[in-house]
Amino acid sequence: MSTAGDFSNTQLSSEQLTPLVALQLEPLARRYRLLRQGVNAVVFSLLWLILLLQWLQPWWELPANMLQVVKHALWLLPILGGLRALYCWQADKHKHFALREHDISYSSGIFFRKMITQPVVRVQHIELKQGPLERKAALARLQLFSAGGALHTFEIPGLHLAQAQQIRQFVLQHKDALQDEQQ
Amino acid sequence: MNNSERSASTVPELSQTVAQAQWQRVSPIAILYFAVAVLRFFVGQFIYLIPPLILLFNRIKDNPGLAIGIVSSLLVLIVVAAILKFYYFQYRLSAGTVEIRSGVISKKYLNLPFNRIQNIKLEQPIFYRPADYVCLQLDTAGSVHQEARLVALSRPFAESLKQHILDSRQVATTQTDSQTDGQAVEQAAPAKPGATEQLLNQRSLADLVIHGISNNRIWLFLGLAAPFYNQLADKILGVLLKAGIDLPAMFDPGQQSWWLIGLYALSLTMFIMLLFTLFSVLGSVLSFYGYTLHKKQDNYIRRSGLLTRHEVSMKLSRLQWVDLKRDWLDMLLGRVNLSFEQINGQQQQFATEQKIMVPSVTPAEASILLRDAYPDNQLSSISFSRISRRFLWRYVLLFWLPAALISQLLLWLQQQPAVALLSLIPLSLWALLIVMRWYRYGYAQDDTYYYLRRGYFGIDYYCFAKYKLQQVQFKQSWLMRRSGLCSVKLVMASGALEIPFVTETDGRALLEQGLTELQRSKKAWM
Repeated sequence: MSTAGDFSNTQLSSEQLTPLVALQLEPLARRYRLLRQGVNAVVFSLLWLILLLQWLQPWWELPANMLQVVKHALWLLPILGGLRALYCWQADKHKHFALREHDISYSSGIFFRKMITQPVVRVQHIELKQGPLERKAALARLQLFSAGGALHTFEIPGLHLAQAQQIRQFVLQHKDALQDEQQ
Repeated sequence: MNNSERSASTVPELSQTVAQAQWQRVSPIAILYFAVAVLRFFVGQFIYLIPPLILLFNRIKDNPGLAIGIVSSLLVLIVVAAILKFYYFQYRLSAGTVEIRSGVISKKYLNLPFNRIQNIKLEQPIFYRPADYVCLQLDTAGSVHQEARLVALSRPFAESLKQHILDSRQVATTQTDSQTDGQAVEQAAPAKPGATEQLLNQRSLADLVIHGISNNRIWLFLGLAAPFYNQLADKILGVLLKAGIDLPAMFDPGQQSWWLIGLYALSLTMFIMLLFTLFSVLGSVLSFYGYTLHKKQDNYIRRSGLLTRHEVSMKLSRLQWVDLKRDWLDMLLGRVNLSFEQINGQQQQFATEQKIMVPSVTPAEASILLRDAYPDNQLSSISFSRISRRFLWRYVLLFWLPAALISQLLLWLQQQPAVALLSLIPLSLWALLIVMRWYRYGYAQDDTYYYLRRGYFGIDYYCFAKYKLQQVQFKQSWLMRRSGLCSVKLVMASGALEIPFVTETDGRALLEQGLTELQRSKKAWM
């Protein structure tokens, strides 16, 4: 075990430190919210259209009980879609992230709020992920992997691509980052 | 380096460069090792075929020729596979790396630099013991999981190789450290490779019997035996009937009075429990026989096992947390299970092999061991803070009360008053568990360590250094926010620990101080 010889531990005045509670949280990209709404709308519309076709098609007879199910699904589905849209909108509004000198935080949740803080020193590797739709919208997801295991992968969704690249750069250039690699 | 030269002299290959090094095979006794591995693979693959085979046993008895044919061809297959595997298993040692070539059909090549090696394990299956061969297992943890096994080396060779790897790692770290610190290498010269091992703890047979009694691992056996329950039950009933005991009749309410059935049930349970305990003691002795824990420089070395001797070594810097676990039975017997947890990785099945567990030590021995790992810890003197009473409300109102109301209502509606009254027993036990859970939860911190206490009837203590944190989480529901409470989760490489329902100021302080300490200490987590 190494203990740094020139280690200093001078006291910092509390104004210099930003506590987690006082962090200035940044919202995710607006496009991310719109994209999620769009995907939601398209998925539910498609499902609804399929059901409608079942209802209207003249080629084969549906059994009576199936017909009942389809009938109810036709009005239930839009309601579910609407609720999900509302939930996603609110949930996305509550997703924030913040950078400090030595760590990154991501908070989410409407009723059950959760803030995950990932110290940059403990980041093992970084992934920038883009699905086809995200690529179209120039959005990216940033994943930071630590030794905490797959369950505790730190992820910030819905960042502007440029922003995500900046954060990745910030993590990579952090002077203590990936120090474990040198061992 | 002076040091590596010295140990390289005992393993001459290690001073060679990659170009000079020769590929070599392990000892032929490895064929046996591979045969066992192949057999294990077959059994693992076709375990579900065993019950039908047992059912077909009578058919097989009538037709022994075919069965012998199948069994012998299977044996030949195993032997051939083992020989081929042995033939294609080659390794090459050179300065700083080990390379392994293996695989008959799909070839594998592994190049492992010594400074990437996390753990070194020596394993000695029982058939290696006469000639004193060992299997050397090299683990690398982290995001990429690789594992190298040198399957049959003579013990002296394996020991010196192991020592060399440990030393070279030490040299590498001190070098990088001194580069960053700007200090001379000589100042931090590693200890002599021949440093003596210091015995920290050893377990006697009596300790292991206590461990077997207090830590019932019978559920493992029961899980494994699940496919055979029906056949087993029929067999047992048959045997008992022959012995003059008719179980179905004993438990038939038409033939016996209620209290007699109860008595039978009680004695049967007692008997089964006794049997289970015996099994558990057997399991404990099997896996922990001859247990010793040594410390050599900064390495903890654990050796144990009756049939297969395992040797696990762990560098102190890899230690993530120490836990002291006491079941209610451990409390009665005055014992503690102490374990040194290290990097868990993603694979749970290795979790038990990775940690160094010291079974059933006395509390005094446990505190000596803990002191040895964390000299400045204050577990024994620190006072724990309680979590909020609202913890009780959440679990009672959210889970217990609905379940209790619904079950009682249903049972009374169905006119089952006896069952309804009986169901009060598990319900009150559940309520008691919730209360005990709340009562046991406690947390504390000092400048360097977190301390966590939890459990139901027993108590588990966790003690871990703040700089080992990997990630922290702060959780708060809407109701918790109103009452100024929160839950915090501390993620380490060996797993995550959650402290629920602490006051918001405490929760934030726990996280904030941990993050600050992690940043200030600049120590590596492994």
